[in-house]
Amino acid sequence: MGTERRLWRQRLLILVPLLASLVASCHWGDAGRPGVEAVRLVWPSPPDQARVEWVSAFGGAADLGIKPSLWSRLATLVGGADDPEIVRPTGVAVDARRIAVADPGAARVQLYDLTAQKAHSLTSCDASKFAEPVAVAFLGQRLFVADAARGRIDSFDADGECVGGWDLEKGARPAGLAADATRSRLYVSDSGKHQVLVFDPQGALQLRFGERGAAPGEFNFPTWMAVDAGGTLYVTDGLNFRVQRFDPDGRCLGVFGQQGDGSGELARPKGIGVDAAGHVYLVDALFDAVQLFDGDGRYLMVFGGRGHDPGQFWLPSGLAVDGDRIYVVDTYNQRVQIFRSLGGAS
Amino acid sequence: MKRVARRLVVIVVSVLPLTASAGLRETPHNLSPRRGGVAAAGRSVPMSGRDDLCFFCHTPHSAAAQRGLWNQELAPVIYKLYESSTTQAQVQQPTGSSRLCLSCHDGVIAKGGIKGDADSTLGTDLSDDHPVSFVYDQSLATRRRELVSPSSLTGNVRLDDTRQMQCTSCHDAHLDRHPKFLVTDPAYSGLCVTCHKLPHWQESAHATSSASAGQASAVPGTAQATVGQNGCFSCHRSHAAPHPKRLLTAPTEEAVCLDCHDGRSAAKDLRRESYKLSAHRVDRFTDVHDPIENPNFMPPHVECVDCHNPHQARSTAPAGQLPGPLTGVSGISIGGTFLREATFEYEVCLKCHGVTEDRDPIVYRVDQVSNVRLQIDPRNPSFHPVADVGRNSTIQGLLPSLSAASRTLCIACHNNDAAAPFGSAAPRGPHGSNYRPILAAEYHFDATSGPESYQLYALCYGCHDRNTLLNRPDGFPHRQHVVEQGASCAVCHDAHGSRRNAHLINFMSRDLTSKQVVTPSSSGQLEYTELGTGSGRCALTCHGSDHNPKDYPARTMPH
Repeated sequence: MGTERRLWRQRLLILVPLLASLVASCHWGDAGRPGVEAVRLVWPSPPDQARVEWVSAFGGAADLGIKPSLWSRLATLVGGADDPEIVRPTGVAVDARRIAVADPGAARVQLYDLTAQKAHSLTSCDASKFAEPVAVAFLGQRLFVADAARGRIDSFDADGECVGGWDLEKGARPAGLAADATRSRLYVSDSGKHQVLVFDPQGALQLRFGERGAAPGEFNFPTWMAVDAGGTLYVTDGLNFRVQRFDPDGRCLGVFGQQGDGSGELARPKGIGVDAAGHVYLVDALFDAVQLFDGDGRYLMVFGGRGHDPGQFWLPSGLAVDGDRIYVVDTYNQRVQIFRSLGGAS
Repeated sequence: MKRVARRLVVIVVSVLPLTASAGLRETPHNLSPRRGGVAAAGRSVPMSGRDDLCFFCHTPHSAAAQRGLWNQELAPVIYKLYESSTTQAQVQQPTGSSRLCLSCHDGVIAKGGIKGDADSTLGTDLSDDHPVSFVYDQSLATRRRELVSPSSLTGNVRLDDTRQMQCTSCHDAHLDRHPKFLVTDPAYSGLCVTCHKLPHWQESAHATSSASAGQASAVPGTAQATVGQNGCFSCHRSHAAPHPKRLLTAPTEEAVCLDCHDGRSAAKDLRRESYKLSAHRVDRFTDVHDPIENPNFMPPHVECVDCHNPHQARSTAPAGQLPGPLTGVSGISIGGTFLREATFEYEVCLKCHGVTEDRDPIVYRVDQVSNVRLQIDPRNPSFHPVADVGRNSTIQGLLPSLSAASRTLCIACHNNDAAAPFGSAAPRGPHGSNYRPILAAEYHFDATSGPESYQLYALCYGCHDRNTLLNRPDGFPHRQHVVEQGASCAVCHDAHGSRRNAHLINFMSRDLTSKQVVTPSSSGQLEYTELGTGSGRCALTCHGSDHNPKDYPARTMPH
């Protein structure tokens, strides 16, 4: 496994300059060969207009250009270099200068500060250790972490120092987080009690909505969420196989998606994001792909595929949109992949 | 035969949805938004009108795959959700039906592989769970050893149609008749031994123990049980194991053992043994021991499992020479050959103490041999009778229960000093002692140990009668050396054996403090010469006395 990963990283390093480059269908090996045309990795394939482009992938701080700290170099000496930095990630959050990755497989959150060139490995807040940290969100300077097993939300300041947190009620299973900076509120999806909770940054409950069911506004395992520029909340309603939209007061604005194994349908919908144009990016773990929908739920296109090459996924989960960048948590490839939305007329 | 099997499959598959759906309703795998009600999940579900709980996992096949508005060139696609092909998968990447399980058991929708509260720094890879999505074929069984042939996998544990082990091999998501949806009763190791064939496990102390499991990890679904009932789960955890490499219940192997071997579940308390003055420091090594290691090439280490095979150990010896607790442990023969299973106690010790010279011996000998295997070699002129009966048929001063034909064990001298031979509450065995090197009783081997007393050489006097040695008028003048000069037995005798001389004579050249002890005589000689039974000649200098040389006259030995 270690060898595989090292190889993968080596290849990535060698090939990043060329990766402006690859044809969607071509494999790793072809890119370095003389005579192989260097083409960008884009979707959809020509002659359709390219809408999404592969940018890069990272499995740890080094891939992001962050030099290892003395501590992490010591840890490498002690623990061996083969352990992956990101083990089984499920969530990602991005702001202007930071990237956070929730990794329940390693019971920790990786916080990468690209401005300060620092990587923090968060394993606990105060004395309590993370058990299953599945989701992360930035709200202002704060980083919020949802621990599904402990039913708890913890928060950290800009330097990765624990600020404190709060427990949810018994039976709750915080599954997803989304931040609304305009309203300074934190949305928590609760897959244990099938509801959405709204907190202020100090942990005071402001609103709750939803219960178990299949009608609009009801949930069957609500999980990943996103908030668009206008404050509309998008919730992946996992085992109702649909996406629901809510206004800031928790009123259901609409529902789309239906179960199936065909393109445009949903088999295991997970991470969700919305770009400035209102396009919805929805990860489907079983398709190993990200499907795009417009605001009305009409199917636009798909990118991804099963595998471990750039642009391919193995049971992906979380997703975050930051400007034109789309971050996809590629869970069983132990990495996060970054794509760019190329825009263009709908 | 094949046709019959295929028909059976057809029957099973066609009956399964009805029975499974009915059984599912009362289980946690009833994922309907209205428990017990009809699921209506944003579409008209196939077979709707029936209480269908299947489609949460078994995605219905699409009749309405769409063409993307931005992707007009690509025809609508039907995705393959769980093909089992390993052509693409890398290690630990779930394939086949395991993809379905892990797409929900991700920590978000349902419990994933939750880390225990262990302070383990090792658990940073995926391997803290039992592996899935690997091909279990005869080649694997042969390579991995201790696995049953996949062709004899009968009963409830099944591989998928590409011969891969999947989540479904141990768990049947449709049937909640055993804890954790297990396909068979996990008590008494019932589930694990379907695949894992461990020789003599069923007769082992662990498998048959009726001790209360106490602190130990329990079989899923049974909180209070005996160690035997917990079986494999006493030490192993199939998911989120704190020690990933062997799926152990604690981050270090000694912590797994000491969970029970602390005087509560198991009778003897071993927690303090490795912290004694002289001890096998199992606390200093983690994860070094490899069950298939060859002692000739392994890195130096000592862990509990180097001397004890927890899958075979038992309290009483089976037929043969080997003490029960050492059953099923590898060794090195007296000839230096690697043995997958030792048959004598000393062979286990020689794994480490009989491969190379001791890099840091307690004292230095004239012949500079410190490899115990060479020291106790029965071809030597003299040796303690560990690997064979001794050579000296006229040996003087043995206690009445012993004779020249007696054999002994390493444990006779290297033992817990607090353990009486039988019936003591303290654990027997060379785990640790207050006398080094892990000695069963006091034995001073400084060049000058001070005035002789029984206590000072209690280890030797346990077999060699003090009165005979010191007071027989017709023996070697031990009194003159040991009592009057205060020399230790160890100055002249090398307890393990002597490659050169009779009577274990192998002079000490440097003592504990690296001080010179026995040096050549004034004419440059340093040797012992046997002159006949009970007669010898020493050429050496010691405690300022020049033996250049000195003869000890022959005497008639009583028989």
